[in-house]
Amino acid sequence: MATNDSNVVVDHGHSRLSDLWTKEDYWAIWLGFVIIIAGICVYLLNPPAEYGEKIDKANAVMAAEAQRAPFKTLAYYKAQDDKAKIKAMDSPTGKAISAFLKTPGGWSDNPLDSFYVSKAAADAKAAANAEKAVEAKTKADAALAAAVTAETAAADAAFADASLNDGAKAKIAEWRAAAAKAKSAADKAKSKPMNLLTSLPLLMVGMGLFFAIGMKFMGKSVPGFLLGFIAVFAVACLATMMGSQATMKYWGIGTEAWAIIIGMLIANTVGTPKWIKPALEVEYFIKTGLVLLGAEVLFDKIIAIGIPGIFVAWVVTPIVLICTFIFGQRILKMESKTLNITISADMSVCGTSAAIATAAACRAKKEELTLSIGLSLVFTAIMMIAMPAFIKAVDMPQILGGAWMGGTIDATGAVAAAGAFLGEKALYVAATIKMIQNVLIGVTAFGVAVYWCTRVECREGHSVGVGEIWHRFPKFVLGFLAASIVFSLISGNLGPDMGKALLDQGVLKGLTASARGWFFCLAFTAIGLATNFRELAHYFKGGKPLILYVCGQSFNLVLTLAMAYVMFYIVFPEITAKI
Amino acid sequence: MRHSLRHTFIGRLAALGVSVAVLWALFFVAGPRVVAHLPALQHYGAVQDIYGIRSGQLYYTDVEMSQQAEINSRSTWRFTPTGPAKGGGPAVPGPVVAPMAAGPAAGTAVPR
Repeated sequence: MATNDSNVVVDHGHSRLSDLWTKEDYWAIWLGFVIIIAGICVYLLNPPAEYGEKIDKANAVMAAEAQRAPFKTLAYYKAQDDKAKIKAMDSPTGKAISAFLKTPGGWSDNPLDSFYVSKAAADAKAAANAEKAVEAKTKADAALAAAVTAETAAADAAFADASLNDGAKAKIAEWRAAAAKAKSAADKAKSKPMNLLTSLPLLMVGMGLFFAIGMKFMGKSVPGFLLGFIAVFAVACLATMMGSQATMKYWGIGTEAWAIIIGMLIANTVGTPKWIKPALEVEYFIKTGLVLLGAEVLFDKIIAIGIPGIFVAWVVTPIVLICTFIFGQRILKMESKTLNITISADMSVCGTSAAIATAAACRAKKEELTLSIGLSLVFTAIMMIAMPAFIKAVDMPQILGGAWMGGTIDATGAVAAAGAFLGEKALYVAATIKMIQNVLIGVTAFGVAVYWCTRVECREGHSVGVGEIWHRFPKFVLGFLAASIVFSLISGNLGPDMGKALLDQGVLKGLTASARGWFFCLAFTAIGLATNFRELAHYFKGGKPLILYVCGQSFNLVLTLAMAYVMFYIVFPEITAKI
Repeated sequence: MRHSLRHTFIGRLAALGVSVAVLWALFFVAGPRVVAHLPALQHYGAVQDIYGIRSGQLYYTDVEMSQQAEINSRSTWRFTPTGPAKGGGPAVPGPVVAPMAAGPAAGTAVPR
């Protein structure tokens, strides 16, 4: 049943040709694809010829080394690292785009450092870190020398001595850890001056005009939108600044969370001024961001870690999602189905990004999305500390621990951080499992949109025809899917290495992901500025959302651990040993 | 009286000031003290700096290390180290090639 609530997209049950230029769902598609096509033109049309040569050379080395030794050798890792360094976004055009879309940077004590760092301050910081960088490099060089010695010993024994092989593997792992530290220290010693005080106003004008085109065609006030947009953008910058503060890494509170917090603080204390309200276009920003997110949903990623990854991320996750939704409806008897499915997707798939996509697909209210994200943030903050500590305490293998965390902790950043807490192997497995799970967003959003059109938003006993489904279907989901399918095809065609260099490290990271980050930040700022604490409390009635999350996550923890153990240690132990 | 105070601009401004002060105390006074007393949290922050990770990042494309992780996982499947064939000809110990650079292409953006 369609509702008339102002927070929900109203479904009038009929479509017109003019919808193409008067409805925000279509404008989200048009605007999203303008950016996507621009990205394709910049990064995909004329790729540098040397990319292919470098990739072929690296692959040849890796293939030879794989035949030479029963473990990943130093040369193998060097070739792998060389491939990772090929990035289309490192081109001059890519760097210019990145500089234009740059968000406020990290800071410790002075918030202004987030926007402006003078040359003198940058030089002073570089000098302060220079000694640490030299020290870290010395340790990395020593670790490398030890690794070379150990690998040579193993090679001299024709890699037939298991203890020498194990010794070499251990020394190589130590070198990897030391080298990562050395690189981090070296980056800090290369501090550069920065000035966002000129680029941010330009970005604000650019984005304001970009969205204003759609506002004009949708018959809304463009001057009113542009005026309010200044304030929304300013709060978004403030949220980005807070999300970049050095201590936020301990609590997992990023830009989007701060956007909601700051927005709600303003709305519930001094109140959101009326002149800002024309720019609180939550759905317009979210849907445009989601179309761009579609380009990041690449289906060829699901085979990144082979069959074990598919089972952990693509078998367990849908089971948990559906069971949690049914549990909410049948056992907890939650009044709001949209809140139920948003929390279920948030908890089982990948946190905030899944919550956004699902909430938009089922037309959940903004308070429901806020509540889901709030729950996710709290539990992510607990799990990202507690899980690695538990895994370490029980001496669980890194691969199993990484797969477990990758399948259960909500936010991708928190998964990677929790994996890094245990070690590089855990980090790699956790981040890869999470990446595969991230791809489920596309299937989830489409499935939820179809289910809502055909089952939830219809009267009992009435069947829904294809035409009616089309009328009700949230059209931006089609843009989201189209972007995902097109980019998955391009990625598959380019192959994993060239796809990574040109798509992941080009079109996506160099343009669409940055723009999507800004749009989501604007959307969450708008949500915060339009949310009333009392309305939010109403949705938490009886603590059912909390019970749903806890029960669903407990089930997820048990099922994911069992599946990870079976896949990585019983079915595919030989691959696990080589990761 | 309480009703009118809440609805005056000064009252609302005071509410904002108190809220900001609470957040400031939470994140910039209590937070660092908690971190200082918990070595596990310090390690948690340190590894994020080393690998250029931010725990609040949303999607895999936001996390630079996800790219490195994917390359590593794919490499394991595509070029699985098997070593010299067992029962075949004698193994050929090749030269050990030491990487020139200081290390892996870990996270590029290192937050402070």
